[in-house]
Amino acid sequence: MKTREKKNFYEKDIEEKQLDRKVVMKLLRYVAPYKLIMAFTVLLLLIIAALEIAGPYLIKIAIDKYLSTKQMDGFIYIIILFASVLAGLFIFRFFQQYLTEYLGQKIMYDLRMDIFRHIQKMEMSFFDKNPTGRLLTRVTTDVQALNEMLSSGIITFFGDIFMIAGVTIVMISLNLKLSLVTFSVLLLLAAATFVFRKKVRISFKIIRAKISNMNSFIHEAVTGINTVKLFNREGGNNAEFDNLNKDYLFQYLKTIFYYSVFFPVVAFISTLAVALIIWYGGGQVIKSLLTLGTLVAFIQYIEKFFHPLSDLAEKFGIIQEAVAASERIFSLLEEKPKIFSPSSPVKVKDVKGDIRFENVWFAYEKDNYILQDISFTLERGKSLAIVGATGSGKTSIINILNRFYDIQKGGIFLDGINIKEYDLEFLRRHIGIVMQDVFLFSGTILENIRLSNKDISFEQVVEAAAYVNADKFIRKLPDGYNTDIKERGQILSVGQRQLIAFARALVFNPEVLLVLDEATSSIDSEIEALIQDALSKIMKNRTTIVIAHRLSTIRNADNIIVLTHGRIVESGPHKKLLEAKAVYYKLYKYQYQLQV
Amino acid sequence: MRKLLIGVSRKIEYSIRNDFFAHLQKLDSTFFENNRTGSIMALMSNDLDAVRNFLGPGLLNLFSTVFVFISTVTIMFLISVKLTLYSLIAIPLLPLIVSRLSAMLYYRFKISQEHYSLLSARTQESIAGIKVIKSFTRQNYETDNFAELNSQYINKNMELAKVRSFFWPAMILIGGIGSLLVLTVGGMQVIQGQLTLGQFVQFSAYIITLTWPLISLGWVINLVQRGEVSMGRLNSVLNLSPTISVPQKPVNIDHYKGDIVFNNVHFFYPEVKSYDIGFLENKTGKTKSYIKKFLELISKYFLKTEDQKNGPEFSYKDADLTNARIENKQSKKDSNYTETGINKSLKKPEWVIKKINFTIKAGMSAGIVGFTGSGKSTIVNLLPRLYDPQQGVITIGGHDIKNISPAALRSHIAYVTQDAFIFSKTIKENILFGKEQFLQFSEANNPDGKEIDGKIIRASKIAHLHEDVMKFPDGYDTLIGERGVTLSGGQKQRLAIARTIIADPEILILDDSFSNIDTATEELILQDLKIHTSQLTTIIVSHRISTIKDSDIIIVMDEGQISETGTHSQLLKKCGIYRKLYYRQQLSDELKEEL
Repeated sequence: MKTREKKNFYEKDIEEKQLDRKVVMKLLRYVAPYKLIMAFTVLLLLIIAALEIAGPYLIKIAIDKYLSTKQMDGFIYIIILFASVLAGLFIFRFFQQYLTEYLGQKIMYDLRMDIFRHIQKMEMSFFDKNPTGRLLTRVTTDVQALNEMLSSGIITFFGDIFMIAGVTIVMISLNLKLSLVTFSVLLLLAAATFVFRKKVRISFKIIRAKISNMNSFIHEAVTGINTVKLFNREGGNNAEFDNLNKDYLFQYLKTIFYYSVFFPVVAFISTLAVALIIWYGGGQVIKSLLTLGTLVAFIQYIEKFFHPLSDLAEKFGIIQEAVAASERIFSLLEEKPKIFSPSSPVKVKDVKGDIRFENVWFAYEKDNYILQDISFTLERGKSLAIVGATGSGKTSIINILNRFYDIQKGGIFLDGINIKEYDLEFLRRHIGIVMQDVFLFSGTILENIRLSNKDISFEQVVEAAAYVNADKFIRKLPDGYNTDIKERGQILSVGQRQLIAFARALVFNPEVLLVLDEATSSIDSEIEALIQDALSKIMKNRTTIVIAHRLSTIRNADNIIVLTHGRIVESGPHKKLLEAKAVYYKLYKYQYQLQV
Repeated sequence: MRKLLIGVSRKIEYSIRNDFFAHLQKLDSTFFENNRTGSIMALMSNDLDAVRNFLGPGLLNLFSTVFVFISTVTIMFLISVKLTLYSLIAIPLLPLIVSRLSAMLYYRFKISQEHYSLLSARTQESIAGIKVIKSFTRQNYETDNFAELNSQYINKNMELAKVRSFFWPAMILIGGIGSLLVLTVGGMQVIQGQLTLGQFVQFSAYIITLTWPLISLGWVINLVQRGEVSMGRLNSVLNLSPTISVPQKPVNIDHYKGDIVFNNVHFFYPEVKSYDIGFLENKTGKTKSYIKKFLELISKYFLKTEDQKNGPEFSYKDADLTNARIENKQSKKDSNYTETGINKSLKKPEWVIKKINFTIKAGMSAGIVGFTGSGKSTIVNLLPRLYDPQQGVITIGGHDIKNISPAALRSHIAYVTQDAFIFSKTIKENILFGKEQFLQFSEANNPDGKEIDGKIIRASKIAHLHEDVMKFPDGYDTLIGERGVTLSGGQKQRLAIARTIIADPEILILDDSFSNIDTATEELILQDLKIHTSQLTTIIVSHRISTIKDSDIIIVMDEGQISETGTHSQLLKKCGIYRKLYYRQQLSDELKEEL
């Protein structure tokens, strides 16, 4: 039973990955801006092929015209020509290689930018579905794999084609009969290549599946490392990994088998070709139907003919890998963002800050409504506190107001205009958020407050920080505002980070402010007082919706909404709600009173 | 030849990958907190590939190059000594160019990798912080910033490309100079009658044979440089030793039913440099050491196969012993790496928990409550030695747990973690996770596996998972996780409980294990646990008072310190955090019932 299950799990993703036309077309779009460079590279490849072909030809002339007739005059020109061919090859090869890399890097750059921009455009639910690691892989590893295909695949392919074509033409023009004899051997080669490709393709498919099995296993083992340790499963994991690793090894050894059959076969065929040429051509030379030089040139051309072919076989794996990567990239790029600016957004100069919710229904997942029929109005400059138990939908109100998520039914209006009619960036610029889990970027405190917006001066940052009581502790840090914060900001306490978030919100000066102020754990009383003070300061004269936890904040709010299971059960100012002696009264009595 | 070398390289890759994986499993939690999963996986794929390419195709070509070179030159000498010497005139240029350029390649490749790391770290942050970026409309800035790193990275790559593009044509040129000289000198000799035309033809054929090895030599050197950089990256992780040490002479305890005592325990999460940084700081790269490394790898590979011959079956006990042996060896070799990391942060410790003192009597139940971030989970992480405290002592039945091997300790402590990490396996395999020896044992005695199934069902019933499992298409053989049935949060937690209690542990830790399970079911599970495991010492961490209110002792955490301890009724009398929490939760429960 166990093995059966294993099979289902481990062999699921073996599927055909061929370089189909669609992927090529999409890739060509990225090549298009560099048409000139591409054309130039191809031209260089042509020149290189021509020069390569010229080499043996010069030797042929040298043998036929000078060596066999023992004539010294003019031999020097052949040598000079040969030397210039060598020098030319060196120079052109250098430029061709360099340009190819340049092209590859430029295309990678564009592709990475496109993916990055695209990811930034996606809506929040996209990030809920796609873990960071997966998106990161698209931008880094997958793009890298694609570059391989471009430089080692497509470009060398051109070069090889030119070489094969050029050699064929020259051979035919030198001697048709001898060419035909040579080409007859090539049919054999074509057959061998065909069989090899077929065998290897299947193997590569399996190998890719094995790699992905191994990767998911590693990923699980690393992310679940604590569980592994607690259950003493290291040994078992090692054994299991060993099996996957071994599978992969054996599969690979199989392809090595194909390769090690294929290459000797190619070598044999090419030797056979040489033998045929010498046997047939030699006879011709003796009968003086063929010059010795031509025979020598033919032998050298055979070499140039076979190398590109075995090259193609070597590159096969790389190309397979890249096709898989490009498919992943393009399927990401094709996923359209579901939340975007309207094609012709309303043009307003200023935002005043009137907010209205009209029968709003909202669900993260189909039909599972987190918010049900929410309606309220909030005038400019006023504040609204939302209270309720965890899971009652408080946070969702914030998530839908700046369109992190879109609502299913009803409407949300800012200054009487539906928020869907605003330009998305405009909307968000005027609606600030102070989040509970304060995300800090690696960089200085200064940059974390102004989020690297150079329009905000250092003085403004200090002013804002001082206003929300953050200036004092920031100045105490080793480098003040220039103190480096590592990812996740470990040097700051939870309370301090909260104050930084306030400063951040303040310095951007939005007309509407959303504050998530849920029970933040261990904040000592001193900093607690600072936070309360800062909160009331930034709420002053600003339309504010606060998911409240602190009594002081709730009491000072102009209006309070009590939310239960996504519905408004009560609303009104503090005093009125207390007098009603209903839900809020109870909340207040048991919970908030204890804070005093 | 080809089959042999490439095959060996694959086998070496296999054994490095196995070693690396086994080593990863030994490293402790601190390492995984400081290194992103993505980078670790990059090491196991990209870098390992580079090493293998060096060992396989790289060496294959090197060997064939040397072989072809020597045999061809010998024949050439037989034909004409003078001409051979002429044609080899350019060869001394080779080592000159190779040594100059390969050092450049190595250095530039390293810089390019550095920028790759930067780019990837930045991307990671931009994705993780997407909410802030969106709400402050900083997309444009983020994009500009990314564009800058992106172009820096390609610029570094172009610098690398410059050297690389020079390398290969240069190698061909050196070969070409040989041909040119043969044509010139040989041609003159033919014309002057010192050499026959046939000899000339033969000679020029050989010189062409010589050109290819030279070209592939350029390619090989490129592979070697890459391989070396990557091997350095791999080694920087392989040389790390776990900070949780295995005692030299671990004490053997038969049962773990003694009192659990925390005596003045202090702890902070140590910061370890990520391997990326550690590697990049080590800039004095020894360029010539790769031959040594290669020999090491080869010998390691052959030793390994011998080992496998001796004992093909991988038993868990053996694994533990070898682990311990390797650990000791490695900690001798180099351990100042991690130590310096800790020493640095020791200067100014920011304790996550401090002055923790408490005793839990054998067989009793203890509850730990407090706000998020107050240090509850940290306390229970110390017991199975996921981390070791920097100060203070933790004892079980009078034995300092530092003297007990982590593996032995963990096999007696059942710990249901907060996140309930479930693996992409069947439900049965998940429940038996780490207890596979049960399976082998029972299969030997009892081919039907009935006994073991009974055990699974019993554990599953205690965790109230059984009914859910029965609804799945394949019952206990249902595949779950990424590619199978998705479990709900509550089902995951109940599965985590089931897999923990199946082994009949002596100590049970439940860390917020009921957060996605409704209170009624939670109550039932707790009751069943009590009935079936009366001898058990239990520690329950929760932010829900209802979960822990019946505990024999309740520890209230606040800001990393114990603020109060006592029983439920004792604590209610004090006007502390506990009372506050209690009333708040009672209220929200009431609210829920009302509506």
